[in-house]
Amino acid sequence: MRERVLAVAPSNVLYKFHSLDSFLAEAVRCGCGTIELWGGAPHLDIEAATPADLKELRRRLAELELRVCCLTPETGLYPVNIASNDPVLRQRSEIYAMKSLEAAAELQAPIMQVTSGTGYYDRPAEEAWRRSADFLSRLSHRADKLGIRLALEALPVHESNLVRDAASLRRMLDEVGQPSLGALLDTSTAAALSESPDDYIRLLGAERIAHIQLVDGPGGHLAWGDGTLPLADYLASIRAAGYAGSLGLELFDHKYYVDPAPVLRRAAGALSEALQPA
Amino acid sequence: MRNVSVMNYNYQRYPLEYFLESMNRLEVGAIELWAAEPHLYVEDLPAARLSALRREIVSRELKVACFTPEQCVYPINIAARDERLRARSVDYFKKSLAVAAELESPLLLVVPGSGFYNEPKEEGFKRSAESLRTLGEEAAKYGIHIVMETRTPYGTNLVNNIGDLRRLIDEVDSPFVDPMLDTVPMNVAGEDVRAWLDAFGSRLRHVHFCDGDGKGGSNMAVGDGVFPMRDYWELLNKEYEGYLTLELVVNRYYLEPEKEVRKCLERLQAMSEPEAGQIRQTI
Repeated sequence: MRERVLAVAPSNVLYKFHSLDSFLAEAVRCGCGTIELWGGAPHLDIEAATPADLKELRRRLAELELRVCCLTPETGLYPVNIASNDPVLRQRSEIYAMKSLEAAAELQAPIMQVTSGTGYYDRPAEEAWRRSADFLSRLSHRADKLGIRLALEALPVHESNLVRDAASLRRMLDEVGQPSLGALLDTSTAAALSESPDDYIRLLGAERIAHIQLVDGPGGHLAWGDGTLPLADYLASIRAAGYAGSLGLELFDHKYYVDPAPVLRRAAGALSEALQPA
Repeated sequence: MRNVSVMNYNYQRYPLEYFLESMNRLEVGAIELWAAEPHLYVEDLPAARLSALRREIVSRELKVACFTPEQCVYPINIAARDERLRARSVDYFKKSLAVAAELESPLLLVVPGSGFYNEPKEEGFKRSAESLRTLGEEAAKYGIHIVMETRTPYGTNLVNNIGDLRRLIDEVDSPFVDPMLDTVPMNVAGEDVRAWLDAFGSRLRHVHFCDGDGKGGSNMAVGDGVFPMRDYWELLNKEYEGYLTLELVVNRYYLEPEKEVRKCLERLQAMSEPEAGQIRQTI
């Protein structure tokens, strides 16, 4: 039996100090037909993007025969938080998420990444949790109509007091209870809490994992070999569990930004080689 | 320590009121207000909210030493090649000037932005200077000074050292656009406080007084890194009259922000005492 080859999907976040075109060209040169599209300035600032901007981007992607496996709107660094107790911020965050979903549809991305947002750390998390769950169910409902699957990603402990490990991720998926809301596994964020793909597979089941970012770490989003994670073992677990999605290369490190092309080549090369049948 | 101000950056997982209360508890009189969600975002600041914020600050007898809207991670770049992004960024700082004026901040921090790393530096530099000239004219109307810091080569390709900043200041040529020092990019550039004082003298209007790991990492609590903070402290106290802001950026400082700031203040206190040499060994 021949195993399905998982797509290696570089993310443009690595090129945030370069133009999107230079990223797309390098992805093509690396032999990647799939990308994970980071939605952030100066590449795709979703809040500012017009329908014409999205159409033009779709045309460029089609011209290069690049497929977007997942749209990952910037939320960690931007002024958005779907769990905020501030109605002004929350409303803008909801509009941002809904607009991101429409952008994903326009760009034919089958998956969109989401996060839970956060509450204040000096207050009980329950209320913020409920605001997050309420909005995620509305977003899932809309995603279902558009035929898009959401991939909920756990955040590091300094970024959120809501969904921040496999257990709280599962709790949110169960509570929202919509099949269009799945999980995103980021191997580096997971490893920072000593969690591995096996933990995610055991707690969630492979079929609920919508997207995987296979990056080295812990404590960073590094190219294969720049950290200490057992990525070959991770890959074996992921394949054995029957995961059939893409493997996002979400690499970011200050030192990568200056000259990202060699980093992208190295990371995509290492992963492609590891995916070759033995 | 009347010349020390504290930034709310590492309080970002707590409400703004918590930060302001914390300043009272720590007996800090001056703050550098980092303007970003969830504390205050200039794009989400209707007039009623702004006046409420002003009262939150003045009722606690706090003074805003510098107003610093988030611009390093938000989609803001006054040197952007994309004209829409650049225009939006200039507008963002015009709004920020109005907010700074309402909060009676004498300073507005603006970073010079960045060009694409794969285009000639000169092009981004020209766009930055042009934006800053516009902002300098606007700042003059309020009597607020724009202060600009250098950044490491990992944050911009335009202004990484004294020479770059000197050239930008000269090119903008506005009495309301001045240099400020951040000790982290200073150290990354291989410069020291002496060189900055010599280069800019009394035109140096503001300082971010931060320790660092010496490897290009983000701004740390005083005493947590490897910089000769005591030497910086003594020199700046002698020859510089503005505020020194404690700007704690590394994310491990988010969880218990007051504890981290208190630690810095105690270390500064120790540096100010005559027997500080011994105390220094124990911290």
